[in-house]
Amino acid sequence: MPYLYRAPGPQAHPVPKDARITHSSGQSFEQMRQECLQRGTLFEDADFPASNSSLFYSERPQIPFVWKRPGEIVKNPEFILGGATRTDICQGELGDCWLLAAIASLTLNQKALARVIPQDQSFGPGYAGIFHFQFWQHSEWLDVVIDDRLPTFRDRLVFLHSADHNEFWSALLEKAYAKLNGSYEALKGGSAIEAMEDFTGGVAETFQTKEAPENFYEILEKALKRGSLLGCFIDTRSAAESEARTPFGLIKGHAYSVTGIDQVSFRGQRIELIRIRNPWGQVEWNGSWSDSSPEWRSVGPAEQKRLCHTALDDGEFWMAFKDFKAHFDKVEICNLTPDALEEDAIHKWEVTVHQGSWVRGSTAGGCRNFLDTFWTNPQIKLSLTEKDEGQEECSFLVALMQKDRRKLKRFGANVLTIGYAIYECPDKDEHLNKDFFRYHASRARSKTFINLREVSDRFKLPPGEYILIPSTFEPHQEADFCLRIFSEKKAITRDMDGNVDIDLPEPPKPTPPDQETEEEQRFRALFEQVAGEDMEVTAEELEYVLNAVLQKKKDIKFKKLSLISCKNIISLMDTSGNGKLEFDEFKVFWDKLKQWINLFLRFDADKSGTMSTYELRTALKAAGFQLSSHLLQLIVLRYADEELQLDFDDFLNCLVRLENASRVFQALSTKNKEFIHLNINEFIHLTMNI
Amino acid sequence: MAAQAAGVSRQRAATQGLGSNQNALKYLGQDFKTLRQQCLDSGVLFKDPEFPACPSALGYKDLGPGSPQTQGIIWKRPTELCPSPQFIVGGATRTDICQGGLGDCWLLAAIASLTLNEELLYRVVPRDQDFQENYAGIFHFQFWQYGEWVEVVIDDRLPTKNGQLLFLHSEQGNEFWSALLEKAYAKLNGCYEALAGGSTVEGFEDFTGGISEFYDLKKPPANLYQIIRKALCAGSLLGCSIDVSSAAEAEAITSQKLVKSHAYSVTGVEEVNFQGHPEKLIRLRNPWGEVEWSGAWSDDAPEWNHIDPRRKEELDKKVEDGEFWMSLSDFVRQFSRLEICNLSPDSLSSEEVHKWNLVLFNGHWTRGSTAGGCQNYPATYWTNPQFKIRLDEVDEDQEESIGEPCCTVLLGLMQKNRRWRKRIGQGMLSIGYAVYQVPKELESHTDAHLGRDFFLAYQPSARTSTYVNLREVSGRARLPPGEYLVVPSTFEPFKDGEFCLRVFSEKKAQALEIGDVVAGNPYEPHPSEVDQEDDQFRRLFEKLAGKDSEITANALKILLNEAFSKRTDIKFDGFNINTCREMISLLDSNGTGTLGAVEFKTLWLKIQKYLEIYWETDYNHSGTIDAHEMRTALRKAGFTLNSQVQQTIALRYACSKLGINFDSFVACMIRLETLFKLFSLLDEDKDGMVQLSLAEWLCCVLV
Repeated sequence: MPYLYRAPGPQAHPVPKDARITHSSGQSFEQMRQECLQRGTLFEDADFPASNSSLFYSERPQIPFVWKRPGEIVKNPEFILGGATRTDICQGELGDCWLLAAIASLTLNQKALARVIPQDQSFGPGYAGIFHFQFWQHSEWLDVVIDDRLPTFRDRLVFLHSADHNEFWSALLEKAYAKLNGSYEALKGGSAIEAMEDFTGGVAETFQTKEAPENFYEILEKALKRGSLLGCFIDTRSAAESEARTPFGLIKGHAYSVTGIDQVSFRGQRIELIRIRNPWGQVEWNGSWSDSSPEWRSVGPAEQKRLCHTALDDGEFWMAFKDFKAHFDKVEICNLTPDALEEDAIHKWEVTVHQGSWVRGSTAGGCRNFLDTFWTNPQIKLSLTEKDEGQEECSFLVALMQKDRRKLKRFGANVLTIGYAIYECPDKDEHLNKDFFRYHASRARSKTFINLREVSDRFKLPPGEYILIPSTFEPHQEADFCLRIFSEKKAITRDMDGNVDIDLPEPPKPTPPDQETEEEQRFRALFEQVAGEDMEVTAEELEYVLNAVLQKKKDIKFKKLSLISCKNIISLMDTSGNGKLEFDEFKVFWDKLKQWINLFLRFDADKSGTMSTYELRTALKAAGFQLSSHLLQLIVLRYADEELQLDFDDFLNCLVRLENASRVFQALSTKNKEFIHLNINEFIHLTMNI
Repeated sequence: MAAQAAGVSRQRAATQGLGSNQNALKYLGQDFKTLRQQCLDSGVLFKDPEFPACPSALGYKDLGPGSPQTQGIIWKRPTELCPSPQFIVGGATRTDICQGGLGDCWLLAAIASLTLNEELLYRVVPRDQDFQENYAGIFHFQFWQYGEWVEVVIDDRLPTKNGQLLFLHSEQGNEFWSALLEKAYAKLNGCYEALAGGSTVEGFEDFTGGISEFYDLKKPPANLYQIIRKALCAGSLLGCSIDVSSAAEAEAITSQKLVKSHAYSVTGVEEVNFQGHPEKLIRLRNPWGEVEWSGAWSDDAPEWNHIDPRRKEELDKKVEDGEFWMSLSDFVRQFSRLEICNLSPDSLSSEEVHKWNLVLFNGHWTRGSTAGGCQNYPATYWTNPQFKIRLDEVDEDQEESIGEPCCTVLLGLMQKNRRWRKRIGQGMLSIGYAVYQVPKELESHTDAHLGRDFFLAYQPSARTSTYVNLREVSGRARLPPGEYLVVPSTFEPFKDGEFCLRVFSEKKAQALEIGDVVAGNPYEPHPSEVDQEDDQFRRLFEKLAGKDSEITANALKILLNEAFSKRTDIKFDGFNINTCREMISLLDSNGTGTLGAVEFKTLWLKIQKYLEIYWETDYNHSGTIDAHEMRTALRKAGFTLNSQVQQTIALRYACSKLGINFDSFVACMIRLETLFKLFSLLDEDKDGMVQLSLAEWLCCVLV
């Protein structure tokens, strides 16, 4: 059903307590649980049945899976045993280690964990075979309900399981995440940071320590202050190296967390230190500044106390920042949104979210390499007004995410190559056109165009106005996206495509009969011949008249005008409401039509009788209709052919309907210019006429 | 432009009182005060661009451009005709109205009658204008037009020949209100020539908003006395006259001093006790103010000596003032016609009179949907607009002789804007109406338009005696309390027209348009219902679908037409691309502009359902259905629509011969489905009202 209108512009950042119910029944977790309890049955989820379709879409299972409830596997199952910890997560037969790593990091942040795993469920009283989890998806929180039937083989869980055989929260969380993504198989392959975002609603950044920016220390310091989740690891060159231990006591391919950053004065110098934690709770760095290294002796006891330096083998240790950069390869930061943080966190990111889409034929413009269509991409204006504290520039983070690609995997959709560019905004407050991009270079852009779910980068730009253009690499590739901007200070963003503005001059008066042009007199003769004495034509007669005249025009190639266009023309021009066009009304329309033909010819460069739909924005603007991307997308969906071309009849049809609808709006919005109010009678009556 | 939107906004304005006499509609959007101020500020005299002083304002045929009658006509302002023109001299009186070279005596007679009632006159001729204060060559008048008051602005350039006004003028050469009133009325009707020929009543109604009745006194109704008495109580204007057989007789005075072909007013009725018998008397007035009846009960007649002197005192009239009594029986014998103009409640300011209660309906007859013709055409008669009224309270003080208690209603059916269409050779339609008592079991069914069977089974309780080509047909009916259906129609079917139907009732009447409820509950198939899939069909789908297993509008068209090409039971040239686009709009759930296999299956089931309905409706198996049958088909498909939408459907989906082929049929159904679905999505709080921004509105229209 029709893709309903969405209000453009930034939206507020959502919070988990508003999580949307996703079950097809429309019922909440609590409602369904109560229903099951009353009926005395265990919940069976029809949306994600215990069958092979929930497991795989491309392959058949190697072994026969048996779906069992935890109660059928062990005697006394527990939801969480002794708190959710990283040891609860053991990988199964699925290549979703990225998910496990993310769940492991999540266990380190109790607040974030509690948001994903609501506390109101267990295998104790009130158990009804139903569980729920909450995930962040494209800037909203979803509440995902599952039943607790899990795939098993020989009474063992096949996929994710806990080290304790009677603890099930992690297996159930995996199932819920699989349901969200369509199937277990859809979880194969991914990056930890992707799942991290789905668990927190944060935005991720990755830094290569070897190519880190100059202010890397400040970045990490600020990230920690903001409560972001930070992880770091050492790359492995081969699978054999995995979990290999270096002479300095570091583990390769293992996810460490960064827990602190600070400076000490050491022999008259300021030394930058970083605190790392091995989630194993043991095996520590043994280089300089490690627990019992001699450097600490030159540090005063007060400062030691401030840094909480202890020599315990608790997996946590300090190291010099320069050693850190030398030994570790990557730092991943998951920047949390304000709602995910404790109330008392001082430094929070300001977040704005834009939803949009690239649609073939209207807004799927591709990257700057494709100048002809690049400008048709959605454009978002970003106003930076406040500088960072003590800085001349404003830092912000742009994260562009393509939606639902994992879910569409089963239909053969792959992750698209995406990226974005930032231009300095000229004074004009409108969608920038082709010429602008021909003559202006971008001020900044995403590091690469890459086929990841999300591309994010950090920028520093002087205060001012910028235009941000998200795009796919190739043109004509369709996807929905969500663009998030995290800024230190409040930044104002606006969708440049949101404005709908109609500029329709009052229709001119028809020329009086004695001042008619030669052309109009010829028409009058034709009209008399076709219409008879009353000088009114029906739609069929109008079709005949227009085609008779237009076929003679040499400069424009036409397929015939359709009867529907003629009916629409009559609906637009007819003042008496009798379904016929009077000659005076026709004269006014003819002037209009001539303008529209010229407009069409301007954009039909190759005189083929069709125009590219990417030109529609400009063509409609010239005709007085400034439309939003969403409206343009609707028009293209309806009228464009497979080659994304529009012929004159459809172009005319579209203009006539737009004008008719705009006139209706003008007529009904006399009191309140913003809105019209319609009851069902008026709504059906008016829309049936357009 | 956008006639429908204009209609909706007018309806809304009307509910807020626009169109009442106090808040008249601005004709062509011209506002008198604004325009006058503009002229005063810039120091020019007003020139009306909407009704220019040029030949087209005069006429189209006899007074058309270049005709001999229009030779030498010069447009002049009153200030150019005499040194000190006046708007009104000594009050507006009947002598201010002298006919010119236009056959609009009916209008003059109406204006003349209007001068007799000051209150009514100044509603038409606002007093805030003259040639002295704030004169800017601009004047305005107010007329009643089909249920609403319209303010018409004109400039004061008048057509003259040899320094004399060509048309209506006052006896006083320097008085101009009547000539200007005529011009304003001509503007409202398109041109001066459009005013030629008409009936006084028509003019009278346009000046008062009332409704007229005629009584032929050769065949007086039994309760004539009651009718006159009640009409006087209700503040109605009553006139009577004596017909003449030749023009020579006009204003001839009979031996008993009655003036023939002259309009008398009826000013009272009384009953007196005369020699032990009750005697009904009627009081008349000669507008001349002199020449009085000299027969029985005249001013000095001996009959007065035989009644109670106190009673005589009450009824006594002064000598020669034009007003006199006569007995009702003499009145019926001497006079030929009685005209009553019943005023609508708003035109009466007095608290004492018993006002009529007024209900007004507007409607259309449209070819192919609601132009059903009269009862002689049973196949289409039932499709006419239907209105329902409910009469609860019976009249007061009924005469016992008449039988069971009844409610008196006065129905007036008026066709709109026909005078405008004279220019293009279309005259008045023959119109009439019928009133049916609604059987008890069908009462309180406001949503159902009654079908053909009802009209075959029931006879009307009241109806117009004939179908006549007058602007208005009206009549009085006495009906027992209950619900009634009023069906206005033209005589012949397929005649386009606009009308307003007025129901004046003594007591409150409740009104409801039948079928004003709009609702849609279309058939919703579930793809799992298809148990057996047509294998060949599926192969075709797969062939036409792209890599993504989705089909575009063009492919859908090929697919459907392939499927229908083998059918011989329906006649059509295949589905149009626009129909296929509508289908995709409705069913495309993910906004790709294409249909997937499941969506397509749903569509296919819908089409099957519509085919079934189409088949049933096409009862003669001709392969197409008639536009009038759409009402039945739509109901079967789950849509309840009002007349307006039915009319739109006929305009947009029927061909000029009023046939609807299967393609249009499906296109219409699919579009309706989409719109109803859209509305229910938009109406989040389910209050039956949606608020739309421009962008949202354009979305609704374009999907």
